[in-house]
Amino acid sequence: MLICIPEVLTRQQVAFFRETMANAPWEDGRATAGSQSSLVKNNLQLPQDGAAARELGEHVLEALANSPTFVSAALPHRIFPPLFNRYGVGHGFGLHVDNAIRGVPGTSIRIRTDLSCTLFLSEAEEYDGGELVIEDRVGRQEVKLAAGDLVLYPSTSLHFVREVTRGERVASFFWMQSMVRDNVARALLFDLDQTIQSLSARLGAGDPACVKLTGIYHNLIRTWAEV
Amino acid sequence: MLAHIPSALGKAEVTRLRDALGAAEWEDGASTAGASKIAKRNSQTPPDSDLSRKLGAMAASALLASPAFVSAAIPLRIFPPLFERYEVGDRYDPHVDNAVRGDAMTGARIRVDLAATLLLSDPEEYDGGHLIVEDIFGSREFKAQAGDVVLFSAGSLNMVTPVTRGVRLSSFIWLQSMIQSDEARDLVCDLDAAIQDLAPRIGGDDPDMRKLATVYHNLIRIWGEA
Repeated sequence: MLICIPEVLTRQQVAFFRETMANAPWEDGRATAGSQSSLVKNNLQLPQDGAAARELGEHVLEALANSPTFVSAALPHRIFPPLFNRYGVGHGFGLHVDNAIRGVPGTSIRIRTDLSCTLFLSEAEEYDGGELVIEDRVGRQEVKLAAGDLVLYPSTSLHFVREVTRGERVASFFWMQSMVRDNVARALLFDLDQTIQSLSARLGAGDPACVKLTGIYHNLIRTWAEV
Repeated sequence: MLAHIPSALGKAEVTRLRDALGAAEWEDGASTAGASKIAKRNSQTPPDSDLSRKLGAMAASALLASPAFVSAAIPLRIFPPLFERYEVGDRYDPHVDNAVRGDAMTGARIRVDLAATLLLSDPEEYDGGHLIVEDIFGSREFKAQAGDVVLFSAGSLNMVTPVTRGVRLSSFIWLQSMIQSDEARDLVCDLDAAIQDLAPRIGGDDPDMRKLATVYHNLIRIWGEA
C-alpha cells in the first residue's frame, strides 16, 4: 500500500522547518546508508545527532501523532528519529532497498523497517526532477508532493530519487516498525477503519452496526498487533 | 464460538427426519465415545447403517442451506451426522469431543473444530436433557426447539443432563471449519452479521458495503483453509 497524506504540516510549520534547515550544517548523506545504497546515494543530510535534526524530528513526530490518517494507515509501533535531506542540482539517490533493521543511535533500540515515509518540505514548483520513484512488480509510481504532504509505503520496495536538475529539494525521511507487520493485514485494517469512519459519519457512531464493526476492528488489532 | 441458531431446519424437515427415525435400529451410544465411554449413556443410530447415512446426508444438506449456520461455522468438511436418543435416565456427563475423527467407511479424517447439536424433539416432550456448554465466558444451558441448532467449539467441555421424562431425539454433527481459530472465525462471523445488518439499510452496492465485503473475503483468504 502506498498512501499520500496531505497537509501533515501547516504552511507555518514548513516555513519554520525551512528556516531552521537553512541555518544548519549539512553532511554527506552516505552517513546513514547501507553498503549497497552508499554506492548510489548522492545528497546531503542534517547530522542525525545535531540540534536541528533533533528539534525538527520532534516536531515531525508530533505532527504524525496528530494525523488520524497516518496513525490508521501506519499503526506505528516505533518510529525512527526523522532524518532530513537536501538534494541540489546533480544530486539523486539510485535504486535501492532500505535496510531491514535500523539501530537508533545512542540507544539499544532496534527497529524493523516495515514502512518508509518521505515528508516533502519543498514545493513541487521549486525544483525539477527529484521525484520519489517506487517500483513494484507491475511498474513504477512517481511521487512528488506539495510541501507538508507525506507519502507512506512498504519498505520492501525498491525505490530511487530522480536526479534534481533545477532548484533544491528538501525533505524529511524516516522508517517505522508497525504494530502490524504484514502489509496485507495492515492495508485491510486501514480499509476497515476508513469504512467505519465513513459509516459513523452517515449513520452515527452509536449505530449498532458501527459499534459491532468497531469491535471487530479492535479484535483484529488484538489478533495481529505486536507491541 | 457458541451460537444458538433457531429454526436451522424447518418443521417439515424435522418431521421427515423423525418419521424416518421411527424405523431406525439403535445401539449403545458409547460406540463413538472414545475415552469418555463411561460418561455417555444413550442410544444412537449405528454410524455405518444405510439409514444413518441417508438421514445424516439430509441433516447435513439442510444445515448447509441455513445462512446463519454457514456464516457461524464456515464449514469445510462435515462428518456424517449421527442421531441419538436419550430416554429416562440417559445422560452424557461433562466431556470434550475427540480432536480428530476418521470415518470408518471412507477413511476420511477431519479435525473437529466445531460440534453442533440439532434438536429433533420439542422441549415439552421431555424433562431434563439440557445441553450445557462451558464457554470462555462461563457455562451456558440450552433447551432448544426442534429444528434449532446449538453450535459450539469442539474444545468446550459439554454435557447433557439426565432425562427424567419422555424422550429427547437429536442429531450431533462434527465439522472442520475453513477457519481453525475460534477467535478468527467469530470475528469473521460478526463481520458478516454487520454486513447483513447494513445491506438493506444502505444498499448492497454502496461503496462502504463493497469495502466491507472486500475486508470479509480478504480475511477468509488470510485465515481460510480449503
